[in-house]
Amino acid sequence: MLKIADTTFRSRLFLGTGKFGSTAILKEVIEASESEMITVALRRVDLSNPKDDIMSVIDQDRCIFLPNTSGARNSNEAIRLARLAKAVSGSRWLKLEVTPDPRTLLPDPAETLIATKKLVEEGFIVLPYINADPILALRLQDVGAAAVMPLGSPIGTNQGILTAFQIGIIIEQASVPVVIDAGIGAPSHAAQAMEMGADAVLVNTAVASSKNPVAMAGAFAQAVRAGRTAYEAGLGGKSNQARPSSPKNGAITEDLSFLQRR
Amino acid sequence: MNVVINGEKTELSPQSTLAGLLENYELPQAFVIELNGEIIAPESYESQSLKEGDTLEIIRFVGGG
Repeated sequence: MLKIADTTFRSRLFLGTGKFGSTAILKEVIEASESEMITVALRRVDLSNPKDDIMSVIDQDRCIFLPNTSGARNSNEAIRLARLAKAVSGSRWLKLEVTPDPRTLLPDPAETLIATKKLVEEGFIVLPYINADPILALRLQDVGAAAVMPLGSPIGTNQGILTAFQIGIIIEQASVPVVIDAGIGAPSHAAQAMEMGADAVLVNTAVASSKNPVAMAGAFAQAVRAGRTAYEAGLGGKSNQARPSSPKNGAITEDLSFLQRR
Repeated sequence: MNVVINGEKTELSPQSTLAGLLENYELPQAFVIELNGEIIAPESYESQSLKEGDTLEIIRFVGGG
């Protein structure tokens, strides 16, 4: 079972809660996903227009609430958001994201490292969102990150695992869990990440932007299970030359001797 | 007196407290208040007075990835 900090998770699918049409749909999506790690963001209360409360649809006995620091452009803003998140949730869990460039939303490695170190010292369980940088992953692990969350492709792009080579190195080297975050656009991408040996995946846009988010959440749950089972079973090796799956010997008649030609 | 709440300039009667201010709003079950950059603990809302020029942020969780 997946274990992060001192918590074990039966599901290896983490779910983001952005961009859903209503909290009613989100509640069904969470159930269909079977996810036990649910991310949320911090924003100002809209005082003129109170809306549905996201806290009301997340069962905190069953799920870990993972607040993110989205919107933070540097370590100081991220640390400020982290403290606010802890004050709201009462929990030490944090998805750290520091994204200075709104066009790419790529994470700032230097600021992420600074913020991780500081927040770990303050007692947070920090899961930093990073580019797929194996050296950075090691540095973050060294300063106490509870997991690392390398991106498959930029946030919200649904482009899948464009960073497979680097993610392979991160998985090989990491002593903390590796959660593939961002860019996973289809259940096949999630299965691919799990087959590679990722410990979990975080999915949001792919589910929220589906015509049927509840069914898609279920599809991701299956894909993550399938990919994990395949990883544990061990994939067969690749070959550049064809190798027949059917036996070469024992053709039935002389007339069918061409079956043996190869 | 004037304070800024979530970026909006707002006029309050003098001698307002934080608890008194919050009665005006429909708030989610979980939120946090930052007053001039400092997080205020809920048990201090009653005693926390507000003064001219204060900046308040009232923050909650929303959907996010």
